[in-house]
Amino acid sequence: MRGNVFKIYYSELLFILIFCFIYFTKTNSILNSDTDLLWNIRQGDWILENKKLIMNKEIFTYLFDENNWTYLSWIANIIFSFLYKIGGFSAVIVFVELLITFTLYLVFKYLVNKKVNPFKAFFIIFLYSLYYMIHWLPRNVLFSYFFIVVWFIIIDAYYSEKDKKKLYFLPILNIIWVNIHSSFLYGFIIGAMFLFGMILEGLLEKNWEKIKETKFLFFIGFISFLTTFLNPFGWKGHLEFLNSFIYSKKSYEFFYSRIMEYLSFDFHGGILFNLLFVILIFLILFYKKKKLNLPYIFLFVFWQNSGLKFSRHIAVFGLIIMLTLPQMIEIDIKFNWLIKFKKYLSKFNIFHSNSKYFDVRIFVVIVALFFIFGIQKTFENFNGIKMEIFNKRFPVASTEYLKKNRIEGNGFNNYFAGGYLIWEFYPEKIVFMDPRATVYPEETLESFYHIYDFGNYAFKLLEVYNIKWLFLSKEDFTAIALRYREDIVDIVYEEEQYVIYKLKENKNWLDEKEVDINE
Amino acid sequence: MSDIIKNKTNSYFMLIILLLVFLFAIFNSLDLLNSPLLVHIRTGEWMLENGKFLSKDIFSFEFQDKEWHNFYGLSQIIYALIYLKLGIGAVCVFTAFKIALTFSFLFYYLKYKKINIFLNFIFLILSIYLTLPQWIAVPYTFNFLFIVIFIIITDKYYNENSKYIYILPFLQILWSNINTEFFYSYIIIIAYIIGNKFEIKEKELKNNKRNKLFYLLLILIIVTMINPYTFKIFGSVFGYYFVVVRERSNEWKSPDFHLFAKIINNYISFLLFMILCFSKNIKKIPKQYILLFLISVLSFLYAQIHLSLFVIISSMFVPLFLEFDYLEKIKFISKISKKLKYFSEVLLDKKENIYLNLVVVSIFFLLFTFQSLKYNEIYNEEISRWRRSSGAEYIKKNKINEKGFHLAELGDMLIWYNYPETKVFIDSRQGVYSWDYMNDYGKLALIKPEFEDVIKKYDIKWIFIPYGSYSNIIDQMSDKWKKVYFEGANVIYLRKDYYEEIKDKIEISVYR
Repeated sequence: MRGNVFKIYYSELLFILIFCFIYFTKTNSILNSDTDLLWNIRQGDWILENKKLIMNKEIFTYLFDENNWTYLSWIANIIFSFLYKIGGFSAVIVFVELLITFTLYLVFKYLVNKKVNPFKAFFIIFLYSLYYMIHWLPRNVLFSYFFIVVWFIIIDAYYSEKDKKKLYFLPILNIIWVNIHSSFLYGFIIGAMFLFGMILEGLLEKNWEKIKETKFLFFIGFISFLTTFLNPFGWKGHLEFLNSFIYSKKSYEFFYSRIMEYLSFDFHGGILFNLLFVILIFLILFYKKKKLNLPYIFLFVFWQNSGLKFSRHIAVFGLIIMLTLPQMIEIDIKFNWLIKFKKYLSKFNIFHSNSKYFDVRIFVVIVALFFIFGIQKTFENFNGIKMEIFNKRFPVASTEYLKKNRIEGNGFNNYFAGGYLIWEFYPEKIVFMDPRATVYPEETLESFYHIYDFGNYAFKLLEVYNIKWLFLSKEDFTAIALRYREDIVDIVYEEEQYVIYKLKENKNWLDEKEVDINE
Repeated sequence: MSDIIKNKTNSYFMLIILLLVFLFAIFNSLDLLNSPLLVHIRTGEWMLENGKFLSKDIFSFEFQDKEWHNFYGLSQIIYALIYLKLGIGAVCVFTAFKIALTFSFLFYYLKYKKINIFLNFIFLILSIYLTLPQWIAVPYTFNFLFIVIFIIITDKYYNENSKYIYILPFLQILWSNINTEFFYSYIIIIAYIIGNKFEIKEKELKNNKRNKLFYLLLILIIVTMINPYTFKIFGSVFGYYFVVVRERSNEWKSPDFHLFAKIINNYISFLLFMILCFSKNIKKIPKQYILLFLISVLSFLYAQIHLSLFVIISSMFVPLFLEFDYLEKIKFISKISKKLKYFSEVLLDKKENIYLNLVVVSIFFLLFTFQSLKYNEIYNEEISRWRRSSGAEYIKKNKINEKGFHLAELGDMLIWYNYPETKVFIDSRQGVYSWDYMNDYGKLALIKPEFEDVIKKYDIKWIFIPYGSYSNIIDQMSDKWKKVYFEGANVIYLRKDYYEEIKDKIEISVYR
């Protein structure tokens, strides 16, 4: 036992390596990816200040006072807010990076426990982390990725080893999941795929036992489903998730046509991702095992479909590839150098371990890394890493101007800039629109995009909402159009990317431009 | 080609499929018509009229008399000839025939590879349905036919030493004068050369075949140079694609699985599911098929223009990867499967009847002529509807012949109606406009903040744009631009100084 303490295992080594890779190469891009983290921290601040789980009061936009938004992320908000309080962005980002690493660690541990060759597992994880990497953002969705892996491992333990005990954890885990991120129904997709797969396998193999076993899985699934109602919004909490899948609600059309992560992935720009997809088919064709497990196939195909459609789901597809592909292929290539390398590693006491997923050692590693990188900020300012928001990515200078020269009256702002305005102006309610998007009623979203696109009634809507100033990206159509309306607006501030317009005193948006009409 | 058709099994199905797909294409014929076709016809007409190849631009203002890498010469002449003899309807009917021929060859190939006829039908119907968005009358659709024929002939040569391999160089000459995708033939031959390397056969036989394929590849590369640009065609085609088109052309972007390629996503899932569940042992699959399939996936994910090529190639090869032993262990599936195989063999092995074939072919030609004449009127009406709503007529009538700006598809209409009076800013032709020019066009078309600088740079005197955000922005510049035409869909503005110059000669037609 004592000897084991001083042994280094592949999994722990992999954890440290992946973490270091993410920390030293991705920190700046993770912090400066988008503004979701900013308003999530602010929501957490509000929850902690007011000690209320339901935000029935709107705190960011001036358009309305009551908030009926069923946002199921209060735990995540509190975590981010708390981390920011104890260690600033450094603690938040290092936590996010540890969460990403721990998810990958679980995948590796699972594969090794399933007797997959550790080098093969490492190879697939290494390749398809690139798909997962697409969504390495400081967002609540990272918790969902972690839970997806946990659900898969637990249900698979029941499917492959008849391990009933682990299944009892699902309803409990689900209570956390439902309160941490709205994508909790992904777990049920995984369960459903296993259920159908098991039934079909039972029918094809005439293995009635297998079909009977699905009863228990169904039962646990049902109990887990009931636990999803244990959230501050009860049954209404499910609408948030369902809306993101069903096209019926008009506001979601905006997502599918305008929000980057809901669009299809650009394989043109990301040629490497295209090659990885082809390599995936190549590996399946060349090294596929004779008989495959149907639940894995169903899951694989489902998430492939979803991943090609919505670029944000490529990350889930990546995780599913990592979990299933090494079990679906058999690579018999024996590299001598690999065998030698393995022997060489054993000289340094580096071994493969069959230990449990939640080993004490890994927690020691996590706490140590969090302390060294997150709280102590030992490596901040090393290799260009700065836990600061980039001036180029966010409208820092324009917001600074607006803070010093607060223009009275209602404002209209660029969608992305909304998140940063919230961050800087909270608790003042300043934004017209922000990246929460679904918090806004359909009419507001429609009005926003009509003004944003400079539609036919843009001026009329600006008048209706009594807008006195606009905070826009220079590329926004309205920003371009207003350049030619010096008669009604002034440019009060302009930087490289953003511009602030102010409606002139005693002027009206519907004022006709004075021109010589000779008709 | 008759050898291919007669080979081992009868050709009834091939002819029937030819007819059915042809009729199906005809019923969807309004979708076959599109604006780039009009420019190709005009170009073809010019070549027939002047008796020489058109390699200089005659349609645009900025590139007037400059070199145009026109790689579609032969297809333009074909389109113009059909148009002049039989009208615009016949051009679309001809495209329908071309597409139908592609799918009947596809069916033939699967039949030749002894694929169960019902599986054959499944992939045939799928490929017909999935390629529908690209059934348009442009030279690009020739590629479908060429690719299928090249694969069939190469495969028959590879497996049976078929003498039809000698046709390939002649086909290559046609292909390189018809469309820019002629290099697919190289990819096909290279795939077979690589596949040969992995094949378990006698070394001498293998080497012999590989050498012959290599010589064929060389011949194909050499005969490609039989075109107006000779060896320069390689540099021009690749240079143009990799610099200009891939950045600026929408169809060269990655597929949008929400809209255009929504159904293709399900097809990819279907293929993956089939491969995961039913693929054969890898040793039984010739590697050239896998290679071509993977290349088609790669090229489709890279650019949505390759949708049909991906669907056609995958429909030809994926059925060859599959076997259903696993399912046949189940009794009732095994029974059905045996019956299907029996019917498949009975249907395919009946003897040929030359009279029946002649009747089918005659019906086909009657339909061709009848449909061409019938659809002429409909197509002409459709084009004039475009014309009315496009404002091209207004520009022609009011003799607005100075330099103007418009989107590419409106440029096609201007060429069709107003050539030679009005020169265009841009149109859908490839190989004319330079990288910088396309960038400037992008700034104008997407209304970038610097769009006014581009207007000044090219001294643009009129703007012809669709009604919406764009026209709303120009409306704010009413001290610089005068709205002279608006009918609900498109708007025309004249620069104030130009308007002052010609205001007595034009009428203002603004629908309010």
